[in-house]
Parts: sequence; structure tokens; C-alpha cells
Amino acid sequence: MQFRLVPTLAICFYLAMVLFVTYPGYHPFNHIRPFVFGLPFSLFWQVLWITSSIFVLTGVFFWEKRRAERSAPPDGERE
Amino acid sequence: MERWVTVTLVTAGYLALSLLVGWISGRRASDTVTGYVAGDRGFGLLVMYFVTGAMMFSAFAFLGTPGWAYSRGAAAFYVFSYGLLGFAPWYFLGPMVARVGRVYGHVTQAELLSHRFQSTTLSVLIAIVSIIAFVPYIALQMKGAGIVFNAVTDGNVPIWVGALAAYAVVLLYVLKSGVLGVGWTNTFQGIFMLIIAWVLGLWLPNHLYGGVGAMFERIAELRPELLTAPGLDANATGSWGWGAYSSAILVSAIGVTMWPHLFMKGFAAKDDETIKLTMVLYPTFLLFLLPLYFIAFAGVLFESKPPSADFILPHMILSTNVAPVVVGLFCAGALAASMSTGDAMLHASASIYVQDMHRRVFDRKLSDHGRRRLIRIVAVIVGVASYYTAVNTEMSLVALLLAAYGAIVQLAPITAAAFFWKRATAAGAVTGLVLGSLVTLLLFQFPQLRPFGLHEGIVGLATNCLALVVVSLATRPLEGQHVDSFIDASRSAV
Repeated sequence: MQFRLVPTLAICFYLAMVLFVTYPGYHPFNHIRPFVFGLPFSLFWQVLWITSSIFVLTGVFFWEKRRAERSAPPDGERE
Repeated sequence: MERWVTVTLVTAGYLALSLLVGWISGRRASDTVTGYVAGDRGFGLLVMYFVTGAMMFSAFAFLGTPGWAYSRGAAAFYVFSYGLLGFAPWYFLGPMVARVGRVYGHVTQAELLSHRFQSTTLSVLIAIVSIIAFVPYIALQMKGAGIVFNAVTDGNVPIWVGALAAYAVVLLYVLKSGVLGVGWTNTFQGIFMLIIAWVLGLWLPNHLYGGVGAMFERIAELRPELLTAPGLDANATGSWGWGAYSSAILVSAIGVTMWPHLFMKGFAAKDDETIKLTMVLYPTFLLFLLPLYFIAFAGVLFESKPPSADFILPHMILSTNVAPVVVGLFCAGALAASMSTGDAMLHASASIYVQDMHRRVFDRKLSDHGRRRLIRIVAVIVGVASYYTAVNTEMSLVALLLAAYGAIVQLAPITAAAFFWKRATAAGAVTGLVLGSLVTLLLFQFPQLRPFGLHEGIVGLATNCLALVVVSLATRPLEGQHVDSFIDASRSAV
């Protein structure tokens, strides 16, 4: 399997998430203030990661789709 | 009309609609095991989205997690984290599973793994573990349904009647329509749940405190300890430990990824794109916890207290004088959460018993027709057994459930090895699974033995990986061609 940049970045996003929603990565963001959209920052932080996931996987999805279209001329895979 | 009568009528209306949707949705399925168990591999995005969402949103999510938010504050935030981290890997793993399933005709997780490792023992082990995990889980869902029904009708509908009514409907549509019934009812129930949760979740804080922000401002003033992780411990007296909070996220996430019914829905997907798009959109469903937490936090500063933390949602709904119809809709929403999880598990456990145990051990020549009939019979047996357990046991179910889920987490190293490590052997897989599960069980029973206070599942996983590697290297490798074609099947797009 060759190195694929975009999926690798997505996996890094989730590994970073593991770090930033558990100890010790959560610690600097685990505060009540400032409030964002009426949520305490600690809760907003959770919502932020969940919402970001939508954009990250959307990126991967379209990257894969483009790649498949480019590398799928009649006689199959080129790489 | 008295309130409880209106509530019961609205809920009955919801049950009738569920039954109707479930009953007619099975018409298009082919009369085969693949049709009954995997919907002829034809699930589109809409159904996959709601089926996947429904797995997460059980009666526990509707009652238990808001109960946590109410009594333990930010401890409940861990559900957000593991909810996402557990499903995200499925974006990558799901299509691989689905491709192998299409090539070899698998419809269950154990079929896939035992095919890769050429081991009947593995198949039977996975089947036993899954069923032990499912029965108490279904029982808890039934109990949840009964409890809500009982609470919102002011005790006029006994718990056993509520549970029976909800699950008679489930059993009927599972028997009639198989996974298509599960899929389309989950879609109906999911839409219903989302609307109810968001409307009530935004309205209630607004009604009581003048808005979500204003509500959190007041909590920040009076109970600030509830708003920062890791929240409070189980007795809501001291702070929960960071170690426990963090390792609970990790173990739960790995456990979710390995859910047998999640695998089965991977086989039901129409194509890889459907699985991927479901995972892209899944976080929108996960955010559904947010309004439920709002209701729970609204309860923190409320003048009256529920009988127990798990009752915080019904308690808030009942004590704010909303119209009886809305209470009925809320009750239906809670039943939807319970039923949409319970139906998939009922269907999965019957399918798993027949596909992975019965036909592998007791009756190797069972025909496709015979298997379909047997799955339906077993579904009835599992339903009755779960109902009996739900009505007759006082807890201790949770212990059984946690123990069995501990074993399901142990499927993770085997699954990873199946796809990424050609040298892994059946002996290695079985040894890893058995040892990992035993260590988990032992540390679950004797918490004082845990090294550094780590979660028992983490220690089990470490043991499992070690055993898998050592035993695999010490035993004869599987035939290279078999492994190669399996791995090729998982990678090549069909």
C-alpha cells in the first residue's frame, strides 16, 4: 500500500482528538469560560471536535472520489 | 380526559405507526438469508444513517446519559468523545468489511473472522460472546421502555405491560421483515426522536431560565464543579479521576467499533460510498445528545428532584406542565430510542446464533430456507428470554453486560490482524481472545489487582495482543494463497 496523504492526515486528526479530549490534552481547554454559543468552553470543545469531524471526512471522501475518477480509465488501475 | 389516558393514546398511535412501517418495509426483500439478515446488501444512505445512529441512541442514551449529566456533570461528556472515536474508524474499516462480505457472501462478523482464520472454534466463541452480551442489553432496553411508559402515565401502565407492548411490536416487524423492518422503523423512529429531543431540549431551558446560555451561567455560579471534566464520581461526592475518564473513552470507543451489529449493517450497505457518507454525516446524529443534556442540566437547579438520576428526563417533562400530547410524544420518543436499539440486537442475536453456531456445529447441511425459519424461531426465543429477564431480575444485569462487552472489545486485535497482518493464525486469534477476555473478567471482579488503576479492558487488550503475536509466530502460518485472496478482496473496489 502506497502512502496516501489525505487519509493519513484524517487519521492524525483522530489521534489528535484522542489526545485533546483525554488527559492531559483536554486540560488547557477544560474551562467554564469563555462561553461559546451559550455553552461552557469545556462542552463547546467537545462539540467543536464532533463538528470538525464532518469536515475532515467530507474532505477525505471527495479526495478519494477524485482520485478514483482520475485513476480509473478503462483498463483499471495505473499506479 | 385525564393526562395519562392522552399520553397512552399518543404512545399507542406511535406504536401502531412503527408496526405499520416495519410490516410493509419487508415486502421488497428476497426470500433468502442474505435478504433477511443483510437486506440483499441494498441499504441506501438514508436508512444506513438512521440504523447507525440508532445503535448509539438506546434507552441508555435517552435516560442514562442525561442522568449522568444531571448527577455527575461533565463526566457525561465522555460519551461525545467515545461516540465519535468509536464510529470514525468505520469510515476506513467499513468498506473493507463490506467488500470481503460481497466476495465471500458473509453476513455476520464471526463469518468474516472465522473465514479469514479458517476456524470454527473462533466462530462459536464469537457467537457465544455476542449472544451473552445481547440478551441483557435487550432486557435493559425493554425495562427502559417499560419504566418510561410507567412514569409518564403516573403509574397507570405497569412496567411489564409497557415493555410487552413495545416489544411485541418489535418482534412482529423483525419476524415479518427482517433487517429491512429494522432499517425502515429505525428511520421513522430516528426522525421522531431527533425532532422531540431538539424541540424539548431548546424549549425547556428557555422556558425555565430564559435560554441555554442563561441556564449555564447560573450553573457556573452555583455548581461550577459540574461544568468541567472529568466531572463527579459515581456517588456524585468527589471528583472522577482523569485516568478513569480517559481510559473509559478509549475502551468504549474500541468496543463500539467492534459491535457485531455494526459489522452486520456494514454487510447490508449498498456500496462503499454509502458507508463512507454515513460516517461523514454521523456526527450530526451524535449532537442529538446535546439537547438531552440541556434538559438534564435544566434539572440541576430545578426545585424538585427525581426519584433517581435516571428519571431526570421524564421528571423534567412531567413537572413543567407541558401539554399531555407533548408528554405522550416524549414517551414515544423514549420508546423509539429503546426499540430502535433493541430490534437490531434481537435480529442480530438470532442471525448470529444460526449463522455462526447452529449451522457450524449442530446442522452443517441446513438449507437457506431452513436457516431463515430457524432465525425467526430463535428471535422469538431470544425475545421471550430477554423479556423474562427484564421483568424478573433486579439489576446485576449490568454486571453481566459489562463483562460480555469486555469480551467484545477483545475482538479488536483479531480484526486488525485479519486485515493487516498476514502471519496471524487461528491459534493466535483464539488464544488472544480467550486470554484477553479472562484477564478483563478477572480484573473486573477484583479491581484491586489493576496495575496503575488502568481500565480492565486496556490490560486485557495488552495481554490479547501479546498472546496473538506470540502464538501466531509459534504456529504454522495459514495457507498463503487463502490469506492473500482475503486481503485482496478487502482492498480492491468492486
